Order: sequence, then structure tokens, then C-alpha cells
Amino acid sequence: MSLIDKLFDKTETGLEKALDLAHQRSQALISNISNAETPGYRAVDLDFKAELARAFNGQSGQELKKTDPRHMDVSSQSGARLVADNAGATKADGNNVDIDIMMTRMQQNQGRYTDAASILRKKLRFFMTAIRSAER
Amino acid sequence: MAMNITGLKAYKEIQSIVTPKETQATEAPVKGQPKEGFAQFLKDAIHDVNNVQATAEDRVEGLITKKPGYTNHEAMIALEKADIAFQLMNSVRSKIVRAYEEILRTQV
Amino acid sequence: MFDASEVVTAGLSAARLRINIIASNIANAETTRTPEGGPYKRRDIVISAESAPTSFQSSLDEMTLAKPQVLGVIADQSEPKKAYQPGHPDADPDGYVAYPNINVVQTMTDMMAATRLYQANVTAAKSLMEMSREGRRISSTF
Repeated sequence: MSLIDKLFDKTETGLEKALDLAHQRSQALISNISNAETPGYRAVDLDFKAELARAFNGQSGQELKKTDPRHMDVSSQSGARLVADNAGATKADGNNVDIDIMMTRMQQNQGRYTDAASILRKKLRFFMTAIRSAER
Repeated sequence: MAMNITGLKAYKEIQSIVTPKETQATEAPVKGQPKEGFAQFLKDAIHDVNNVQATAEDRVEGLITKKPGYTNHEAMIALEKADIAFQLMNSVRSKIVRAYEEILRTQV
Repeated sequence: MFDASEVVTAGLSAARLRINIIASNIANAETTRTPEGGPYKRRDIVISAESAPTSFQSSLDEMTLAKPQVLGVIADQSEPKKAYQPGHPDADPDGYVAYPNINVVQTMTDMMAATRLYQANVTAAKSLMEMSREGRRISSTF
């Protein structure tokens, strides 16, 4: 862990993780919504149980190997798995996307993302201001 | 005028710690270097800044070339961290230079 | 790689096409004569899902994200409805007129669903843009 990273505490890493998850979830939601009328399409969502378990075990996610010394810190690249989402009822054509559920989730998810982004922005701005004001 | 020259000398001394040749021969001590512990700390710190900036470059490149796993928020965070790291290093450097100047000024 | 903006665009296109086709069906519910002969045939859209692997999935995963792909528009080839109207210009020798196989009530319901689907896609697009914007704002010049 670099000296710079020591400046930032666990809240900061937590926020980054929250952003990553929300971003990934938005992909799942977009896939679902755009395929809401595609015959046979099965709705997907992130595997939150696995993610929670990983968080408790202290792992950052699927481990990616650093085989090249130029590889940067890749902990935030690892992603959650996709699982079948059975919240919606299956229609005659095999599709089980419930638009209303997806819309609610999307609103929730967007809120989480923008909240985390705002807080992170403020934290980083704080550091910058603190350093700059210490110039004189 | 004299102060500027000595300030520059101090700056150059710090820069000499992290020239490319230096990064390969980390064991070789540099003549006229301040105490070992501090120099090492400074070296590590400057390498950290390089790493953070390299990460930022990587993240931005990945974002622009649409590599999988490269999100825009990660790029922004990396950029901001790199900026903070640089500002911090810059701040520390100017304080060191000023300290040298102060010391040299008291020598009559 | 899953490109969210690409998928959202595809979803919007497919949803809009669906609306147009249903509108065409409603407009032609009573069309007994067409250039290709016979009554208007109900149109339907054919969509399939093009699997799009993400950056964060292993290939062993069963579930994948998908991009909707419009394969085409098909015409309903089932037997047209027949109504006994001997005086009608398009009546056959037995006096029956062939009408499109369109249930107007059903088609209206389909139209409402199609509109909702389009609106959902629009919301998804907006959400994506909003998130991108907020993500970008994390770093700023001052």
C-alpha cells in the first residue's frame, strides 16, 4: 500500500467499492430493461450475497493476478458475479423481466451511485484544499 | 541571488535521489545525502507519486480505449489521487527548499 | 464487452419499432385490400438477445448480459377473419370479406405496454447519463 493510500481511510475504499457495485448493477438493469420484451430472456442481477460474504472475509473481489510488474493495483477491477433474478414472473414467451421492479431498482441504484460519488468528491476536494492551504 | 542558487542546489540534491539511474541502484548511497532514514522516506514518497500518476494514466487510457473493467469513476478517482499526491509532494519539496534556504541564511 | 450506451440505444430502437408496428396494425385494422393482395396482415416484431459478456464475468457463468437485436418484422400468416358483407367491394364470390386478423382491444393493450417499455428505456438512458456525469464530477479542476 502506497503512502498516498494511507491518507485515505476505509470509508474511502468503501465508497469506491460502492461505486463499482452500483456501476455493475446498472449494467445488469440496463440489460434487463432493454430486453424486457425479448422472448426467452432471463433477468439478471448482481450476486449480493457473495459480495457481502467477500466483504466480511476481507477479500476485495475475484483475485486478479499481477503477472507484470507494470500492473497497477487491480483490486477495484474485480467484479461481482451475475445471478438469475427471479423477482419477476415468467411470461408465456419465457421472459421474466418485470419492468416496474427494474425501474424501482434503477432509481435506487442511481441514488446510491450519485451519493457515493458526491461524498467521494467532497472527501477528495477536502484533501486538495487542505494541502493547498498549507502552502503558505 | 545567492539564495536562489543554494535553493536550486537543494532541489537538485533531492532530484538526484530519484533520477532513473538511481531507481536501478537503490543500494548505492549518494554523496552529500542527508540522513539515511529521511532520504529513504523521500525516495519512497516520490516513487509513490510516480506510481499513483502511472495508475492514473493507465486508468484514463483504459477508459478512452474502452478496455473492459475501466470505469469513468475509477479514472476520475485515480486522477484526483494523482493530483493530490503531486500537490502534496510539491508542498513538501518547497518546504524543504525553504528550510535549506533558512539554514543557509543563518550561516554567517 | 458490454457497452451500456450501446445496449440502451438498441433497447430504445427496438421499443420504438414495436410502437410503430403496433400503430400500423391499429391503423390498418380494417384494411381489406392491400397492394400485395388480400387484407392487411398483422405485423409483429422479432427480437432476439445477443449475448454480451461483461468485463467482470468468467466464461463459466450461466447468466450473461444481453443486447436486444431486431431480427425483423413478420406478417401474421394465419387465416383472416371473415365477415359476411355481400355488398362490400372486396367481397368474395360467396359474399365474405376478409379482414385483418387484428383484435383491436388486444392491440390497444399492446400499445400501452409498448409505450411503457419505451418510457422505461428512456429512463434507463437518462439514468446512465446521470451516473456518468456524477462519476465524472469526482475529479474537477478546482
